[in-house]
Amino acid sequence: MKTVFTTGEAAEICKVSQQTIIRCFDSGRLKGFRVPGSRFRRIPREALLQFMKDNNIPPDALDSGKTKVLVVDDDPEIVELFVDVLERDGRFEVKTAATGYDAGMITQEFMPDLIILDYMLPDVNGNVVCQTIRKNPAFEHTKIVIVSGVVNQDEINELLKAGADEFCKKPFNIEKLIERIGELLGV
Amino acid sequence: MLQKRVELILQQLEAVPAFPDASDIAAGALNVARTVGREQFESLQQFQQKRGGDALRYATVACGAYHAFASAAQQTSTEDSFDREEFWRHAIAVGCCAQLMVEQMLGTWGKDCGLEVFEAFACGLLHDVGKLVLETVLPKSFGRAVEAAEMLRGNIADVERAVIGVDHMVAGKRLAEQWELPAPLRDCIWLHGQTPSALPTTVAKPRLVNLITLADTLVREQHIGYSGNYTFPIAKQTLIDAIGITQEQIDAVLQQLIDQIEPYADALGVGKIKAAELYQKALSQANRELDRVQVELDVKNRRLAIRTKFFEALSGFQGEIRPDAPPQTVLRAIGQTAVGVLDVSSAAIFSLIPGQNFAEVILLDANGDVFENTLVDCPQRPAINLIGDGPVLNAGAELEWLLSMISPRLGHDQRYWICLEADGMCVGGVVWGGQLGESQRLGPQVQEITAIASGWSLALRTAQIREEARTLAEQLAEVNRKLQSAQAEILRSRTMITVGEMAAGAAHEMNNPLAVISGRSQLLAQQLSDPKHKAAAHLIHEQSHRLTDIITELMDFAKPVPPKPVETDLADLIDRALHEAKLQADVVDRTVEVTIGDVPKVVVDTDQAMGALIELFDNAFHATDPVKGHIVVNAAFDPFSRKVAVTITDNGCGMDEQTLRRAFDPFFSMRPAGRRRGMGLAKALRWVEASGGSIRLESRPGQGTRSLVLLPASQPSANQAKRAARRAAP
Repeated sequence: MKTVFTTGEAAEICKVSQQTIIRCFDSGRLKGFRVPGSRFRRIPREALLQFMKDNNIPPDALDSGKTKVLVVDDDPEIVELFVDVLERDGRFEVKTAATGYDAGMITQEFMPDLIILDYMLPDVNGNVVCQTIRKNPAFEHTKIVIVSGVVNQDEINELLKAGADEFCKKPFNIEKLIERIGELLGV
Repeated sequence: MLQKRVELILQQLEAVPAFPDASDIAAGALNVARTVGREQFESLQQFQQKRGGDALRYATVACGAYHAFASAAQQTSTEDSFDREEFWRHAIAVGCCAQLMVEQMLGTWGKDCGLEVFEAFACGLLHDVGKLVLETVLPKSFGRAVEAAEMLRGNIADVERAVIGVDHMVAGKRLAEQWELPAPLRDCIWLHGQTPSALPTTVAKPRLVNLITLADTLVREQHIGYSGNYTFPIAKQTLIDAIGITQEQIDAVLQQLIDQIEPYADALGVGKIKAAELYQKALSQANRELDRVQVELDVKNRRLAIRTKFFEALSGFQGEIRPDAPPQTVLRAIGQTAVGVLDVSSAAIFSLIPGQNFAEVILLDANGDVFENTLVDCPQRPAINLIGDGPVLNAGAELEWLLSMISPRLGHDQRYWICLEADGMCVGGVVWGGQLGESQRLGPQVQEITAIASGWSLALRTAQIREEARTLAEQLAEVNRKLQSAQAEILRSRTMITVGEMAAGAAHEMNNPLAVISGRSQLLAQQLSDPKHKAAAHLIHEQSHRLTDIITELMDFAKPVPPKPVETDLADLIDRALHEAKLQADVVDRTVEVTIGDVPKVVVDTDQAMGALIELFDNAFHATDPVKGHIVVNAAFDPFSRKVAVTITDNGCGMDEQTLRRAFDPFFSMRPAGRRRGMGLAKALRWVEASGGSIRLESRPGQGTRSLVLLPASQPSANQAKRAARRAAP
C-alpha cells in the first residue's frame, strides 16, 4: 500500500489542482516533508487522510472506502476460504498473513480494521500476536477475532483477556461469522 | 585346706585310748584264742606254741582293741545315734564270717590258700575300727554323719568325708599305725570295701582284704548289727572270683554264721548276744528294711500314678491338636486337659497374641465342654509377675481385665492361674477357681504341671504364629488385589491421558479441514440454485458439524474441565437430572420412583454430576420396556465410606458380563450404531471421579441393572451421621 504521496498524486486523490495542494502544504494546512537535499514535497498517508477529513473530501479515492480485514492463518485453505467469504460480501478489503511475524508487519502497513487471527500459528501463538498489537496505541480501534479449534472455556477466556474481541470456534457458520464481524465494525 | 583339717583331726588321735597292757587283756585273749582256735588252750603260752606267734598276736590285738574302746565308751554319753552294741555285733559277725570262710577254704586247699583263721577273725572284727576312732575324737560330727548316712541310705564313708573331712578307713589306718598293728590288719582296715582290681600293689595280702570286704557284704545282707553302710557298690561275684571261694562254701558259712556269733561275743565280753535274739533282730531289721522299701515303692508308685495321669493328659492333648489347628482348637484342647490334671470343675483358657489388645477366651466345664467362647479387651500389656513358686500363681491385678469378665463363671472364691509363656511373654493362660492353699494341693504335681504347661505354651504359641502368618498371608493377598486394581486404574487413567493428548492433537488437525468443508459447503449452498444440490451442500455442512461435535465430546472426555465442587442439595440435583433425562428420552409409561433419605449435601461439580446422572437415567430409560419399565432411585448416607450413595435400579434388559466389563469404555455402545456415540458412561464415570466419587454397575442379562454412585458428602452434622450409622447397623 502506498504510504507517501507526491503533491500531484495528492491533487488527483483530492480532485483539486496541484497548486492548491502546494499552497496548503506550504501554509501548513497539509502536513508533510521535503525530500532531503531537494525541495520536493512529500505527503504521508495519515497527513493526507487528515487533510481530506478536515476539508470534507470523501476518502473513497484514497482507500477504496472498504473495511480492511487481515486474515492470519498458516492453513492456506482456511485463508482462501476467509478471503472468498469476505470478498463475496463486497464490503471488505482483505489481506493475508501465514505467521505471527508477517501478521505484525502487515498490520503496520495495512492498518486493518479487523484481524481474523488463528490461535495456533507456526511461530508465535495468537494470544502473543494479540497482546503485541494491543500494546500499540495506533491500533487501539482495531478489532481482533481469534479463530481456533479450542473448546476449553478457560482457554477461551484467557484469549479474550489477552485483548481479543471475539472468539470463533472452527469450524464456523459463515453467516453468523459475517454477521458478528459487521456488528464489531459497525458497518 | 581340707588336708589341713584332716591332719588336725588325725593329730587328735592321741585322744584315742592307748592299747591296753598285755596283762590286762591276757584272760580275754585266751578266751578269743580258745573260741577262734576251737581248742581249750591251757594258757597263752600253750596257744602260742600250738598256733604260732602270729596267732597269739592277732588274738591279743582283737581283744585289746575291743577293751580299749569299750572302756573309753563308758565315759561318753550313750545318747548318741551311734549304737556301739550294734557296731560290735556287726564287727563280730564280720570277723566270724571271715574266719568261717577261711576254715572252708583251708578245708579245700589247706595252707596253700595263704589265709589264717586268727588273722581273718581279727581283720574282720577290726575292719571298721576307724568308726570308733571318729566317734571317740569327734562324737558330734560323727553322730551327724551317722544320721545323714541313715537318712540318705548311702555309704557312711562318703558322708564322713563330706561332714568330717576324713572317712573311717583313713582314721582306722592312722590308728593301726599308732598302735603298730600288723600290716595285713592295717590294710584291711584301710582298704576294705575297695574293688579287688583297685587295690594298691603294695598290699601284701589282697586276698585277705577282699575276704573282709566279702564278709562285710555278707553280714550286711544278713542284717546283722550296724555297719552304717546301706549300699552294695561291689558285686559279690567279683569278690567271690577274686578270693577263689565257691558259692557252696559261702552257703555253708551263712548257715552257721548266726549260731557261731554268740560264743565270740562271750569271748570278747560283748554283752549277751543270744542266737535267738540275733535271729529276731536280724528279722526285724530285715522287716524294717522291707517296710522302708515298701514306703519308697509307695512313693514311687504315687509319683508314677501322677506321671501317668499327666502323660495320659499330655498324649490326649497331643492327639487333640492337628498340626494346623487354629488357636480355638488348641485352647479347647488345653482346657480339656487342664480340667483333668488340675481336677477343677471349670476353667478359663485365654490366648493373647502379642501386639493385640484383646484376648480370645473360652470357658469349659469339668467334662471339657466349652460353654462360653468370647473375646475380652485387654487394654494394655498385662504386667505379668512371673516370680513365684512353681507354675500355679495367684491371680491378681495383672488378670483383672479378664477376671472382671469371667470370674462369676468359675467355682470357689480364690482365683489361680498358670501363665503360658513364650519368648518371655505371656501368650495365654489357664485360669480357675479354687480354695485357699491351691498351691499346696497341687504341690506334689509341680514338676508335671510345669512340664504340661510348657507343652500347652508351645502348642498355643505355634497356633498363634500360624494364625498370624495366615492373617498376614490374607492381608498380603488383599494388598495384592488392591495393587492389581490400582495398576488397572493407573493403566486406565494413563490410557485416558494418552487418548486425551491424541484427541487434542487430532482435534486441531481435523478442525481445519472440517472448517474448510463446512465453510465451502455453506458457500456452495448459497451459490446453488437447484434445491436438490442446495440440500446436498447443506447436508455436507451439517455432517461436518456432527463430526465436530464428536471431536468436542472426545476432547471433553479426555481432558475434562477441572471440576468446581460446591455443596449441592442431592434431591434437587436428582430432580433436575431426571427432568433433563426425560427431555432427552421419551419416558412413555415407564415409572420412576425416587426415595431420598436423610442425606447430607453432596460436594460435586454440579454440571458434571448432573451430566453423569442424566447419562445413567438415560441408560435406564433405554434399557427398560416403555410400558413395564420401572426405575427406582434411592439415596442414602453410607457411614463407612462417608459418602452419599445414589442407586438407580431398573428392571430392564441388563447386561452380560462382557458388556458389563466394557461398559465404561469410550465409544463402546450396545445401542444401534449411529444413534449414539457410546461416550455416556465413560463420560459419567470421568465426571463423577473428577469430583471424588465413583460409579459401580451390577447387572445380569434380563434382570436389570443397578448403578451405584457414591458422591462425596459435605461434613454431615453429628446427628445425621449417628442416625445413618444406626440405620446401617444390622
